[in-house]
Amino acid sequence: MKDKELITQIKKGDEKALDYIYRKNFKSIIKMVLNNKGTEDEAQDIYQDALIVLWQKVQKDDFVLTSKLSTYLYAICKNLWLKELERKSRLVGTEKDEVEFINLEQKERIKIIHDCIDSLGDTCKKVLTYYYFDGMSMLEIAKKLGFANADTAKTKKYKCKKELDSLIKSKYKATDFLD
Amino acid sequence: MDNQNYSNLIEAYLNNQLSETERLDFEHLCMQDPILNSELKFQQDIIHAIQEYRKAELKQRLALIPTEGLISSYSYLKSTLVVLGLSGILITSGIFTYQNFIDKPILLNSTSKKLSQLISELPLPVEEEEVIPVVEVESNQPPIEEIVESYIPVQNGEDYSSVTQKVANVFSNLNHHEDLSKMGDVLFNENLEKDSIHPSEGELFPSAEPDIKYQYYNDRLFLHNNKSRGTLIPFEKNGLTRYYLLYEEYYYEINDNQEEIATPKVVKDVDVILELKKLQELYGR
Repeated sequence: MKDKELITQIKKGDEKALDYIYRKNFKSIIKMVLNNKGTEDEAQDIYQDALIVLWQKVQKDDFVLTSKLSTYLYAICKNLWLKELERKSRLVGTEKDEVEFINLEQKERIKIIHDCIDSLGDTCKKVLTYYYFDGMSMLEIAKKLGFANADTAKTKKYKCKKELDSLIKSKYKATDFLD
Repeated sequence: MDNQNYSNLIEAYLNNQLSETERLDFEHLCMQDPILNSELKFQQDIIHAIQEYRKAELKQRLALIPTEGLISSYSYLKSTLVVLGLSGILITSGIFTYQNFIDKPILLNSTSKKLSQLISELPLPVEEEEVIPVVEVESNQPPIEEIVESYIPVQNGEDYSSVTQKVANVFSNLNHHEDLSKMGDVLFNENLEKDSIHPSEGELFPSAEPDIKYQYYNDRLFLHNNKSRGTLIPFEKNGLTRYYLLYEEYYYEINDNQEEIATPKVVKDVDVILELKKLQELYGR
């Protein structure tokens, strides 16, 4: 598949294009991380994150690919890995307990929300994640999920979000998270 | 403002859809109204969690893609180790040749042949990707030269004397001490002009853009329009390996994933040049 086709597929929200890119560039990216003090697990982790960054960037309307897709992906990976190396070097000597404590409360809240998302219907899950993460427009969501038009998608998104909000609020009250 | 308006405003704020003034007004409003502020935080949490949820879903999908066969860890590790070991020998032989150029013509001999054989027998990872054709060369142009990668094992903060020791160790592991100075053909061309690689005094970098072009992919460097061979120097700094090319006395920065033909960037940072020169001097002696 050519770069242009892959970009078009990603813009349509076709996850298979992502799988294809993952397999095609796996070796060079893993090698780059391994050659720069990383382990294979870290390499795979960074690579997966990089593909998700790519996925989100391509979805943006103003995205223009100015180099080969593989070059672009490699650059994302390199930046991510550099950040990770910096993060690791910063961690040495900081008070880990404090960092952990702050994150714990947020982690707990996110877990509650994730449980609520899990309990939503499949369509609701897709509408919300496509809108808030993939950055798809209402028209794109309508096309992908087979809705009549963008307005239907918009109404669906509104209803799903309301449902999620009230689900979470009831859980929050129960666990006394709201101040 | 009613609840619906508030939630629309929060949504627009979180989606970066407000103008600069609207944004500032909204933030001001939040500071004054604790209920609005806690609703904003609540919505922020939800959107963040939805994003994390989708991210985890996509990541899970990628993690399930079978990767066996794409790269074999064992064979890769093995070849890396062998390459690391041999590259030490390579660089030393290259330096000896460098000296040799200046003093006397290069002789082919059995040691260098053995070394070439060894290199060709390295277990390299199996290539599965499509082969990208190397650029067509017109007949009046010099052929594209592939550069043998030379690895300089200097770590951050490492004392140069310890590197010298490493080099010495590599030497003592070889059984052909006396032939080392003749192991020329591995790194350098025989028919090179003596002046072309002899560093001149004074300028640290060229004033004009270089004529040469390069490609670098699959861990290999290809030079175009070059009159002589260069040396590739991987140089580790702050945890990241950067690649430099020493070509006709000047240093160039190499992008390590350059599939299209490009002009190498001239290194103008004096500190970097001096560090690279230091390495070169160390091995040149």
